[in-house]
Amino acid sequence: MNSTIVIGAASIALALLFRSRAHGLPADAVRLPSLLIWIVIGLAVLMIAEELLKRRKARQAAGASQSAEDEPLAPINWPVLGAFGAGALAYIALIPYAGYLVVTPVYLICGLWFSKTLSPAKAVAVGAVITAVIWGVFIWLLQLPIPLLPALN
Amino acid sequence: MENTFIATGLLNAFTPTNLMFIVLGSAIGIVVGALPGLSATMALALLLPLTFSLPPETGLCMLASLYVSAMYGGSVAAILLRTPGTPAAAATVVDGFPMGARGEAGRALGISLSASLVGGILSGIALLLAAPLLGKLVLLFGPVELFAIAVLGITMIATLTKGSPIKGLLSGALGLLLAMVGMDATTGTARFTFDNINLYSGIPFTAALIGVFSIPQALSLAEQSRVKEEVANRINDRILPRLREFLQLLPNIVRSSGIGIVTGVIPGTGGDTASWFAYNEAKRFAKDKSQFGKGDPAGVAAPEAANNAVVGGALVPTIALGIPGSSSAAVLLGGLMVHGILPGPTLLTEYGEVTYTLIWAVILSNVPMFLLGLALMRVCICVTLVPKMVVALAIVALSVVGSFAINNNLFDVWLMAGFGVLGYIFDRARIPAAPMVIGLVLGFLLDSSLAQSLLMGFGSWSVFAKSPIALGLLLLALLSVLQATPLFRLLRRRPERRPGVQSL
Repeated sequence: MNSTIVIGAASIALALLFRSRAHGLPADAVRLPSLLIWIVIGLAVLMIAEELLKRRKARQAAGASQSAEDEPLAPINWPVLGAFGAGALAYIALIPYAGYLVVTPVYLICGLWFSKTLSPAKAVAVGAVITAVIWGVFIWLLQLPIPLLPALN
Repeated sequence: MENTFIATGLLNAFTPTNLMFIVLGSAIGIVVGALPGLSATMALALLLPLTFSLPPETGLCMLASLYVSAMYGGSVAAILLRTPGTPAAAATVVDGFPMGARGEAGRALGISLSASLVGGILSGIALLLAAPLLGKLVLLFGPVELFAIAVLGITMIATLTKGSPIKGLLSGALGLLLAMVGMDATTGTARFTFDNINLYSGIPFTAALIGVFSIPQALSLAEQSRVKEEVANRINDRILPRLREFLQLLPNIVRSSGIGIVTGVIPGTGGDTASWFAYNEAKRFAKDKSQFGKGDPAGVAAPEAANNAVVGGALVPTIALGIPGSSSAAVLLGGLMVHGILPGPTLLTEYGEVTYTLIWAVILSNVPMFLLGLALMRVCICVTLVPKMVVALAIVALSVVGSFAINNNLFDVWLMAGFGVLGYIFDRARIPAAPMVIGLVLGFLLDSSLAQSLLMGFGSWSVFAKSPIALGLLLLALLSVLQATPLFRLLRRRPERRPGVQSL
């Protein structure tokens, strides 16, 4: 499905959800949000209409020269995107349980290994170096609160 | 008062810690800029959490120097790989790569570095001169005028960004709507929080910034991970231009810097617009136009001076009015906001010391950029060859750690990931993400100034018509929206058609 239409429909849904939640709130608190809800709905409808019009024009003038904005984007590489996204979601979900020091190197090494970017030995080395650099700057130097090894707490 | 702030800012910027962070920011900026596909905004967003535990001045010194240096770093990949390191370096490819191909890669990089130095310093000086003047004007502004400025800022950013103005406006409106989540400052009521305690203080814009600017780049790098970059040009020649050549290029560099500063001041237009504009002007002014596109040094100097000059220009409305001139400036403003410094006139009064330290950091960071640019030139060649999957995975790890550090809360990490997915879909739909982020940043200012204005006007919206400044600014905002509509295009075309009609 076309990304523009997806975003347009999602924007309308979000605006309507906000509108339903605005009931019962003091008038002063929803003055600007109410205005913005209608602006979002109006613009989303206009964007969808613009997209449909553009598609109709493109069909009518098939083969005619396209503007830079209409140049087609490279197709989505679904297998890579799916695997990469799933890896990132697993990384986020596991951090509070297994901790940064376990999950980060595993995530980096597996990512590099399965994508065949580097050999296993190089993947381990690069994974360890990136984990150490982030730990050194964010956790050791700046003392930012990241769960390192929750199992030991 | 300003002189005191200017002097204090200079002294602050010269402290050993701040100087060290300026050098660190410059090194990171050059390296990130040299990596194809990564933008300065992404690097700023990723490193924003680093500033949490630093004093505001120090954090801003690092972010400002990173911003300045990443602009130059983009030219390294443009000249050596024929791939712009940052979008702002796209125009540099046209003449930079042919120069490298005929064995003058060092000369092209040297010209790029020198032009970036001049552009950066001139724009920093322009910022130092313009910000206090505008700041004095802004002191006359009350909530009514501030509301009008915020409306003008968001409409200009939304309509002047590339592509469909409707998409830009929708992006900005969505950002403003999302900024309404949280406690209402006037009534103390929780709005649109869905009974989630994590949303009571609003959507953390740092998580949104990291997600929108970093995750889409990580995803697209992962998608292209099979494409291998190869260094097409090697550095075998002299790097710095000779004085005679530099003086010949100087008028072009100064003109391009002026173009960059002015373009930067206009919200919504960034380094890429400025560099193409400067490139075209350099070509127009050139005696021999035939060499453009074949490796003319003027074609490297112009875009590089312009894109570095954008930095100071973009910070003028950010500092003076609290309206970020670009997405990178919005992240810098975010760097102030994490320390409780809100956009608006107080930036040049109450927080003058911090703001002037930032201005001086913009000027001073050009020196380490130049020196490190020379020293790291050959290292940058190796950086450009780092596999894309390594960079993509590192971006995700940094994004997760950074967003977790905001409130020590996993909710922010999921929010960051959600904004990341949204940013990716925005990219696919060619919807600019910058207006949404700027809407998120300006939402509070807009909401609070509207509430105060209506209180002053006893609930009547006519309060905006009673202030000539606010009325003028709101009319300008309306004009900026109207000029993007088909109606305006129709009106513009009509006079052009008349002669044709008469001839019939």
